[in-house]
Amino acid sequence: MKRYALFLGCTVPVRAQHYELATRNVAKELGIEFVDLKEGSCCGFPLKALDAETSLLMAARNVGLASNLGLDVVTLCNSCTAMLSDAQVKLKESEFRKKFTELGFTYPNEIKVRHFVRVLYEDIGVEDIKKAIRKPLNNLRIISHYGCHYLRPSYLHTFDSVENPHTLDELTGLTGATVIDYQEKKLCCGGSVLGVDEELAVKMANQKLSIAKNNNADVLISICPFCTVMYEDNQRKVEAKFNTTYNIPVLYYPQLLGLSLGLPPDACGLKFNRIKPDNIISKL
Amino acid sequence: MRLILCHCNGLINMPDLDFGHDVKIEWYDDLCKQEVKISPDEKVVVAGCSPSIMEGIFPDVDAEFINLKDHIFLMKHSLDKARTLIKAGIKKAKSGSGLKRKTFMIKSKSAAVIGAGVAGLDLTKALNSAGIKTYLIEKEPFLGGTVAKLDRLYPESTPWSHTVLPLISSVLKNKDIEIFTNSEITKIKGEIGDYKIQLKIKPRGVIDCNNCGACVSVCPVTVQDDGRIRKAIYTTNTYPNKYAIDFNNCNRCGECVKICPKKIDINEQDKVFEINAGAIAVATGLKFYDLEKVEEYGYGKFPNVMNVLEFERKITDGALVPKKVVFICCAGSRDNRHLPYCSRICCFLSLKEAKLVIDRYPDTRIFVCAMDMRSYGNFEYFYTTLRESGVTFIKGKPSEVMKRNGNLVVRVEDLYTNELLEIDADTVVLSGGFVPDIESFEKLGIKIDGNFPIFFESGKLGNIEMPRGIFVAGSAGFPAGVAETIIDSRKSAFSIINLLKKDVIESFQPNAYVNEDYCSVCKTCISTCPYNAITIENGKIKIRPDLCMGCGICASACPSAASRLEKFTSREISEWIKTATKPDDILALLCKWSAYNATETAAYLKIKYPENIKILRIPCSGAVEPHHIFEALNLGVKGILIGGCYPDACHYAKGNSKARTKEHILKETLNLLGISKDRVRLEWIGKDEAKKFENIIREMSLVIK
Amino acid sequence: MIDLKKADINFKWEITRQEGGEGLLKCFGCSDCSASCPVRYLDDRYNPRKIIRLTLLGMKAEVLSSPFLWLCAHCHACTERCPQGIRVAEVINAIKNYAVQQGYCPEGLKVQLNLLNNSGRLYELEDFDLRKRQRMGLPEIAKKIPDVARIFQFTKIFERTAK
Repeated sequence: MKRYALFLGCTVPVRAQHYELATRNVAKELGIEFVDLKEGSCCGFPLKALDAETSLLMAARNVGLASNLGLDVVTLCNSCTAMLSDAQVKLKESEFRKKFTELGFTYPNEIKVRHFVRVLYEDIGVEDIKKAIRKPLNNLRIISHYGCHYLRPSYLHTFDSVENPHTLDELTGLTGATVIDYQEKKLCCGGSVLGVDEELAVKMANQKLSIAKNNNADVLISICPFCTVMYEDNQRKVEAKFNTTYNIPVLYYPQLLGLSLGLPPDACGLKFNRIKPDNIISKL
Repeated sequence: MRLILCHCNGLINMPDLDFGHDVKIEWYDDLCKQEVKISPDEKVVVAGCSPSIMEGIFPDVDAEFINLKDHIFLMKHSLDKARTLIKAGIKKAKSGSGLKRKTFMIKSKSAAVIGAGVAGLDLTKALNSAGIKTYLIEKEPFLGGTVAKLDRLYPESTPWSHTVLPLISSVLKNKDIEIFTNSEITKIKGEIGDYKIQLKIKPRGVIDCNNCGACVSVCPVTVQDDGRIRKAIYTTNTYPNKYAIDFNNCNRCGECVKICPKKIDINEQDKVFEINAGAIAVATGLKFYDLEKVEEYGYGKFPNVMNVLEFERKITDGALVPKKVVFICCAGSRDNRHLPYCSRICCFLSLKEAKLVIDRYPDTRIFVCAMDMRSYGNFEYFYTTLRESGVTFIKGKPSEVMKRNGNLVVRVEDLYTNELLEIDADTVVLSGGFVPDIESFEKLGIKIDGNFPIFFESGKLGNIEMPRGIFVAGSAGFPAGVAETIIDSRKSAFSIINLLKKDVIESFQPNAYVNEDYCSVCKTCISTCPYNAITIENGKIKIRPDLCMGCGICASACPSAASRLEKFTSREISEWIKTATKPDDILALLCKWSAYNATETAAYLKIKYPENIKILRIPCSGAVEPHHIFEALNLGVKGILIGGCYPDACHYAKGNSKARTKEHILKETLNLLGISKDRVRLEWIGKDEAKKFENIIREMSLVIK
Repeated sequence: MIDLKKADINFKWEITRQEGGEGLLKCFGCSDCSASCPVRYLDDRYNPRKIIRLTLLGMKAEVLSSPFLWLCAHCHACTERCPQGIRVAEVINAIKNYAVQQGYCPEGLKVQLNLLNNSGRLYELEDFDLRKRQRMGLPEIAKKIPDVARIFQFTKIFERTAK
């Protein structure tokens, strides 16, 4: 049994419970145990533009919570991953550490911060996941979306390849689905500018949705609640703006993996997806 | 001991000198013109003008120099001070163990040249014309190097046959030139003047050949050779004029053996050969940076993305007739993720390739993307020619190369217009940088870092007075065009000829050495040496005299005072300080490359500083030991000034920055001891900055109570 | 035209002193950042190179008051490509931080700050959410994280954004 501290952040526990549910159920299937960081706060990323130090202290506090349990952190959101990783590095700087300590926080054990998908790839491994697949999703065409902070900045993540990412495609391929190979894997969903310039954010989201459509994707795979907000919650807006119809379901990777592990759609939280993944359920 | 004094043509006069019965005083009117006989094992004290001049007059003498002219007579300081300085010089000379003469015998009069490209060929030819037996070692089966793979030369644009073929024919059939193709150095022993080099001669496979080419027609293996397609058995139009098997790709099917009317042996074995050489030249030429590492440009991913060499060979082969080409300069160059330096020739290589296409296919659309077009010197005309030929230049570094609808697309922001461009093209040529041939140098026992240039003056290949007998020529030292390469190979030839004509070489430069009784092999010194002169042999620290430049940085860093610099040991310095300084004096320890010269400038410009300034000439500000400072303060010296070179201008690369680090630590220690930190100052003083020197001295005199 | 008489020579140094602003001076203006930028691709009002160049020139008011500064999605595409190893997105973020201190804070950020000050997360857990989590079998988590407000007091963030 592998144990990790699960960090949820802001969006997942309130707006993306289906992601959380699928993650927990998939984890159980693959022999992963989570210890919940019940006192976990916002990772700090939303305030980074306001004051980087404040956001780093928030992130460091969350890293500290896991450190006190002596467990590596698993995150579900790309931005949380980058923010917490940044703090984990920052905690090695004495000046920052001093402020952190002054606030009464502690960091007794050096721990790692990784996204759940990276943990699946690195700690469980492609071979073991492959063995656990019970219901290959042979009929599906899938386009995967990595999102920015899963791999970038590479000085924090040192994982996969920024220019030619492959880990999520590899993991998606394990489910038996056809993985669409395309060039623009690095595209940003636009989530970060949604609050500043909605029109621009919608334009950014449209890029990948149109690639998905042109490639006849049945589903778009996301691993970050920010990206899902853009591709799923705002899909209607994108359609309206560009006068088109996409109707492409957006699933979190654990939801897809869960289905291929043989979990029932409810256990993967499929009924909570805004764009109903009926096409998937019917093809199961 | 002899005290040799110079009147400096009437300037210097000191009556009634007496330094005890064992000091023999000799006066000369003008040492610049008079001859003084000094035996090689004698230690003397010379008082006269600037040490930098006297070092030239007594190049091979173990002497302690005292600058009476600039520090006393032009300054109008007292004869008392002069006597004190002479006394201090005598004490210093007496307390030291003196210089060890370093001697190397030049036993072998032959030279080994590694690499038979333009540099190696030209060097071999030059050495041969001076009567030097030369071994020319080439790792490929054919002579000619990178240039022989090209259509035309850089930067002349003439076909390579104009230069390379005459060079090749000049080294053939000459009893004093021995050529080894398909050969590599495997082992090397010895030192300057006597290197034993073991060669591995790899099998050529083709034993006897009449160039019928039947073998090629039956060979089933196709090989990609820098943009050309050939078989695993092949030839080139250079030398030797016979086929060779590329055993890295050969599948040993034996078809060629069957069809050959002469003789092919695919089971031929490596041969070992030993040569003896007094000097070695590294002429291994250009080494391309691995462009697959520049992932965003898609080299290795898209077949139509290629490097300049592949492009040139494809064009001239007729295998590629492009309609639209984009050149990307600085692909992986001037880039901290790849090569931080500029490889100098790549901008121009792009221009050369662009012209190559236009000359053949004038309708080709050509774009050249460059952050800065570095067309130095007369190459600017070539740049103009290309613009006039219709080539579009874009200022900016492309972000990526993509594929869209079967075409390549280059995305770049054009800094001239501030607009984002997407250029579609059928061919993208990456003008990448070049890397030092670390492997070849390593085989010769030379550690180099990943940076250019590698000149022997930079210390990597020994110091100027005492080279280690290994030289570099052409692009192995720094990427260069053919003209520059030939100039460079002639320079190396000069150094090699100069070396090999001697039977023995000697050096009188002070060296660092290690007192093994004190050394705890903590290895601190190893990391401080700018010249990698310090190694561990049989568990003991050893400083190589042929690499040591005498900076003294290692000695000042040694925690157990085991590492020392000749003529600059703690004992000598202590004796000098004790004798030369009085309480209330200011001791100035001045770097001989900058701050010390400022005091001479002061003398010429009649910029006066007070009598109580006692100046000691030191090799480098980084050589000052904290121990010296404490000793001087103990003696009651009022203040200590350490003068060094400005940042990044240290003669020994990083001595001054080490001095700065030590200064911080020293000041903290002084603080702990309750000594005012104002009493010690480290200043950068340029050779002409007499005024600055005077100001600092004045400030120190005022501040220190 | 840029009026260099209005340039503030200290501006670039101020930015280098901000968290993440360290690499600014290394920029040699190659334009790889802006060619890599997904925002600039769609909307050329935003151009990271231009922001950095104007900062180096000292055009403080022009840079800080620009609404386009806030269009950076912090996606780090630029950072990955910068040949000088500048963490470009971090430098832009440092400029944003400085803009906030100089009184150019977007209202949206202030709203987020208040939300976080109240509950420690952007979305407060309402009773409805708690019930939903229960129904789905998801574990309980703390409703409020007061430590976050404590951090805000410590870094005096409200004072910094007050200008």
